[in-house]
Amino acid sequence: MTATVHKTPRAEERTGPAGLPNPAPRPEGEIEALKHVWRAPKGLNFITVVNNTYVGLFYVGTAFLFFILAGILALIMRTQLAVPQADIVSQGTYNQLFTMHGTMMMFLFAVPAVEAMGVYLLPNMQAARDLPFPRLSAYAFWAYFFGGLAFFCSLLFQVAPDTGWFMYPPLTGTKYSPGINADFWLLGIGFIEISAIAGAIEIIVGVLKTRAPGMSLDKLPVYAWAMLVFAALIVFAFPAVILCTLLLEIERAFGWPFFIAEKGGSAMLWQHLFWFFGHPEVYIIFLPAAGMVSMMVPTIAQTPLVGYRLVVLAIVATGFFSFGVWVHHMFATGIPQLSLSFFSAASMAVSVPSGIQVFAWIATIANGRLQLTTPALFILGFLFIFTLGGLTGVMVGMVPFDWQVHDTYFVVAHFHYVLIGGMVFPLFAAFYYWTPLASRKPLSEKLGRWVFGLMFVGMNVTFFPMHLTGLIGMPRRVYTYPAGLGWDWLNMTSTIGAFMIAAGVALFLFDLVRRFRITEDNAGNIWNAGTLEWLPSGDYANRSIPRVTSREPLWDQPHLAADVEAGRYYLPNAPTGGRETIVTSPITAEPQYVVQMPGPSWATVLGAFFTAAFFILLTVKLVIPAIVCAVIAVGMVIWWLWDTDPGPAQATVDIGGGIRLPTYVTGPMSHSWWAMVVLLMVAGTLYACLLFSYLFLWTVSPDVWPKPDALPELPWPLLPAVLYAASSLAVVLASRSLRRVPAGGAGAAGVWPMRIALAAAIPLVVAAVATDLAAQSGTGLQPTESAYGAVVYMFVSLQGFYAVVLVLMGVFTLARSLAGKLDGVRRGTFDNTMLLWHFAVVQGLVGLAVTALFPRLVGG
Amino acid sequence: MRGARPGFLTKMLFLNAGLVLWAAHFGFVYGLTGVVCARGLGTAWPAAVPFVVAFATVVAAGLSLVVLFAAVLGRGPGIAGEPDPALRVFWRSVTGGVAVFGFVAIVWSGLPAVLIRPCA
Repeated sequence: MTATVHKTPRAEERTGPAGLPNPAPRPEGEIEALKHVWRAPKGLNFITVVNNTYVGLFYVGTAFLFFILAGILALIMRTQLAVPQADIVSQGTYNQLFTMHGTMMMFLFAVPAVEAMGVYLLPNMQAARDLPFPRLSAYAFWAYFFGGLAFFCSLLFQVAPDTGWFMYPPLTGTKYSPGINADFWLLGIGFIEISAIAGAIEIIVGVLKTRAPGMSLDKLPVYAWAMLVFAALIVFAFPAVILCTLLLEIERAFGWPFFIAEKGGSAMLWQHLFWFFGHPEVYIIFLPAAGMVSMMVPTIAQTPLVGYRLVVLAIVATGFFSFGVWVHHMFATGIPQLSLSFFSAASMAVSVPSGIQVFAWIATIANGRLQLTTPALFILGFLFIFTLGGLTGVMVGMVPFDWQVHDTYFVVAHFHYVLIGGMVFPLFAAFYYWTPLASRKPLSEKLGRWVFGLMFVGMNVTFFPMHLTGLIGMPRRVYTYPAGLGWDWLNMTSTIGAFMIAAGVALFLFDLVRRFRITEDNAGNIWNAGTLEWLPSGDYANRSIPRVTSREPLWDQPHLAADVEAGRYYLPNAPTGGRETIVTSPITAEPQYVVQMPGPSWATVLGAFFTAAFFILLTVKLVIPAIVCAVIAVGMVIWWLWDTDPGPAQATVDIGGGIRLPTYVTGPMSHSWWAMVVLLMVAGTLYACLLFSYLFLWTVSPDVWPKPDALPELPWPLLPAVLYAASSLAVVLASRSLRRVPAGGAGAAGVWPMRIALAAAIPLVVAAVATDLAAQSGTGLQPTESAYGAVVYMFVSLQGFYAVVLVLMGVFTLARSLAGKLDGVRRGTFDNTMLLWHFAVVQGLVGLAVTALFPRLVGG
Repeated sequence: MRGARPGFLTKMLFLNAGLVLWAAHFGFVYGLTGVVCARGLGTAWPAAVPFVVAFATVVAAGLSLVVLFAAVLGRGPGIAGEPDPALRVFWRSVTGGVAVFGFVAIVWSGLPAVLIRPCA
């Protein structure tokens, strides 16, 4: 290893310069108190731990487990394809293998792995004590863990999905897939969608609100920028896949024909919704990996990243362009040429920002002195492989070329170059680079070179021949092939390469088992990196939270590590007696308040278990046990949330430097308000996708849209509208009454008016949905008769879901009021309920307007 | 900090304005083409598509140039009045860069409309 060991003065060697926020030495017992507050539970209770350093590692480890399992499936497939006419697995099993391989790699490895790295790294890079919602991170992890294992086990019982990872109808409809295999995919990844969105909310709020003071957006680590855009992509892309899986499952379970052409549905609707998620998914995977590369390259070159602003610009542009390319997966579906051309243009445009990042990394390497460590090798490998994948991406982005290679092995080669090059190699670089942060010993450099060599050569030996296999006509997803078509030696070569990759991964695992040991006494900053995650840390993260003045604080503030460790910076203690971190303003990162954070709880683990159980039991048609699990999961979430709106522990606390901060805020400054707003963005996007579905189905099947005289007559559409508006008004009145309740004023004026108004809002919103349902069913419209009926009842059903959630939240809020946990100051729970309430009402009104007015407007 | 939220949202919107314009333009031209072609709205609408797309392209590209000039001149939310010079330079550069990206992407995406017949 050629990396220079970075020496920082030990804390006790420095007496502390004037001007730092807190004096040193710190009072006796302070560090012990901090350790006590942030300690991980012992014994069996350890699994309830919520610290990001543990949950992040659990997450990474589980993602890696699924990478290995999905890789084994790939090896079985490659063995089957090594020679023509092999019969190692049957056609049906092969179908399950490629479906599970793709699904697991995308949903159980790639997305969770990058999210996991974010959970682990972001608080460290931003010098926060933890992410703002530690229990949410833990819940997201455990839902993924339990659900993922159960999903994988479907393979053992031969009921795994078998129609490809993108699950196109009509193949996945009940007519052609009558078993539960497709349901396993549709319901089985429900927990992944929940997990991904929970993680995205956590990351957006974490990046924007819990940074080290002084870390304004121009000093934000590129990785944090990448994770911010990554999380935004999840917010705007995942709702599309949530909706399409929901629609297909409802079609399969209840016969609502969203995708059945005979009844006005369209299989193309699935493709639009799926790929509106599916292509951004590629960038959901790539951007965090690119962000990690942007953190590692300056260290391995020992010079700041060239073109920081251009790289940020490229990340943002990639995020936008990724939403304009989904139709390039549908070039062969008969869409008009002009429409295809828009997407072809966007597909070429998206390569420009990726190119900017590649040039920035090359320029940084050229600008510094490259240290050829294992992370550096993986990064160089990434640059080579990803660039090749990008070039073939431009090729398949051109419509005529795509028509020639569509559904051939050329496409398989292309996306493996993009995904393995763009994500797996950076991830392995990251494993080597950040292991010294988590482990007492770094991984072996000597073995690391072998791991890299085997994986790099193996990757190219496996996938480069597939370009040729595809160009000479071998289609994807065939379980065998006849001899003599020129495919034999190419397939054998690919199989040899696949086992080389496996050997590389096995060697990595061996090294991991040999050297990776979790300990608070980690190997430290062995690479001489400049960013904050390399500060000395423990379960409490950093001893004190620094003020930063540059993008590489450890390079530019040479005594920073020692001063942080000595407690000379902000919040060197636990002034409220519990877990806390500093919340900062989103742009300039100025301290705003000290947030009190919840600690370990069984509620998160059990809530996640029963959430996953709900989805899996529903898949195997055990409806009653599934409902029981759902009720228990909701109960667990309520238990967990009961403690998380604590109110002010003290009026203000001193964090050092003369700064006194409140310990509780509500409204737009509050982190929970931000989380709710992000959640509403998810909900709004889901609804926009449903509106799109309505309009799309109208464009393809206007004949099933009713004549105006077949629609609910006035005043039927107005009645639910009035009820919705009245429920919102009642919540506004409740809010005004609550404002008059002083802190701790359980018996004060305003308490009962608030309770009465909120209690009145609940039946009003339920009645709004019920009257809407009555209006539609009163016309004789059935959800099973046509796509129109299905989509209209889907609007009503979605509102019904919101009504159930609002009833739960309303009752929960009332219960907190009755328990004396709600007043004019401590009103975070109420504010969140109110935000969702108004959102659901606006959404309901939009739905009423569309279903009542649009058919009249277009004349039926 | 009651006033902080609009400030943040406005600043972020201005920072991303070039690409927000691209997204709006892209959604409009694709949606228009999709509806016109899928519904077979006679002959008049398909003939009008290239002109409508061209008009939308000129408007969106023009607006992205306005954002670019504002950034260059140091105007706009997040730039004007920002006391931290480093943050001001960052905001100005990224806003301007995004606007350039948006302008090129809008023109590039709109170009097929003058080269390819709609609904073919």
